[in-house]
Amino acid sequence: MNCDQVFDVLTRGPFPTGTSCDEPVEAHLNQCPGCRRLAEALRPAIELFQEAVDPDESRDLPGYWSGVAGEQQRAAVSYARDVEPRAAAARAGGALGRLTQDFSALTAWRMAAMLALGVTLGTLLGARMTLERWGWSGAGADASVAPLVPHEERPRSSLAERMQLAVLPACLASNAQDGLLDGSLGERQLASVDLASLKCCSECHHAASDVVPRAATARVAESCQLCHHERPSPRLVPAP
Amino acid sequence: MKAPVFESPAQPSDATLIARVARGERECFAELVGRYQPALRRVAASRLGRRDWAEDVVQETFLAAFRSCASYDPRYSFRTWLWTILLNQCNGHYQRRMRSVPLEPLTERSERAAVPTSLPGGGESPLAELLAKERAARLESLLSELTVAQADALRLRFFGGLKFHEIAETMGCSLNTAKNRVRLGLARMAELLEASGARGTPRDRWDEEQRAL
Repeated sequence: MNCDQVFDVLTRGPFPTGTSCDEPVEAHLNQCPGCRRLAEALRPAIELFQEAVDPDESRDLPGYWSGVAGEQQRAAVSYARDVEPRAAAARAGGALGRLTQDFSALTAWRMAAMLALGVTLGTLLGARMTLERWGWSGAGADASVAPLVPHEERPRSSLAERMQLAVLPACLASNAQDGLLDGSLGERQLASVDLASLKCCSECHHAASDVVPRAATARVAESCQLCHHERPSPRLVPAP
Repeated sequence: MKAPVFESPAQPSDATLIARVARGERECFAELVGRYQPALRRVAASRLGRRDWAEDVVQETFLAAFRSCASYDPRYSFRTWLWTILLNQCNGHYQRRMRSVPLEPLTERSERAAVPTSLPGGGESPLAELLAKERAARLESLLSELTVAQADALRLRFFGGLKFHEIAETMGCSLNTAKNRVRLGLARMAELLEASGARGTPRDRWDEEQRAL
């Protein structure tokens, strides 16, 4: 079970459920400090939601208690993206309506500052979109990662190089849980593991991550060039 | 704990029901209403801040779905389709009301929306009901501190029971964005809870006061 699946379980309903589904989740929480911290940090808010919904009612929600492995086949097309684009315009209009509710001089200055900020961000976003058209692909949360070197072209760098960057045991455990790495390998054996067989660091290490500290993400960024052509976008990996 | 199954003869799937409605079996639509009305009502009440508005919006949502069932494309998930209609109806309803009705103070709005749609039945003490109402009001107050996108994502997840990819399809965003809206929304709520005091939930305060007696 990976971090994403655990997050899905923790936000799906009350946990622990008292069923066999709890065991893999608890095992992951015991091994993954990031998920453990996240679970503890989010617990008050999650409990507030779960208290607001009657347990019997929540169980009757279609699909709410679906198993982790039993994901229903998702629709091939997104209705919202393809057919209802005005939803986004309607939400923007709603926000604008609330902004004009109470107009004062201070509010006017704030609106002007927000507008200036918005123009600046829009310009930067336009530049980013241009970069995306030049071959940058998105990954993680609203971030761009340099194009991945094809597997056969990747340098045969060993895990030792990555280990020199102080990869935490949690990273190795995470790859082991996903079946990408034999968790029982010794240090010398780990050093010979093909780096290209492991999952991309950006799955956990990215600028928007609230699981991995910024310093750890910045350190890992140095290893990105082992598999990618260029350094990742600063929006993916913040400066140390 | 039971897992709803919608493929047995006794529990046909949403797609099966909507297809039957399109063929003229209108009574099948009542089954769909029964399945989704409580969750839709809960999300709408939280979104709009008023239960009476929520009732209107939910009715309009079902009406729109009923009118469109003949042209419903089975490529789309009925669930996400219905929720998309609801969010659109909420946006439109809110804008119409904003133009005609003065905005209520936030506390009153939270309390209006906070009454649980499924009030405890017979046997619940007035205190339990009061605590439930207070918890709900607190939740609505916290949701109002989030961005609209984060709050909607949380409502869809916890009140609507949607999976992350369904949230993404309903809100027209990527799967990662949907997950991060939920994650960041919860994190922000946790920060606000921590900042609001160490006295914990209303139940915690009640327990604390009982122990002090």
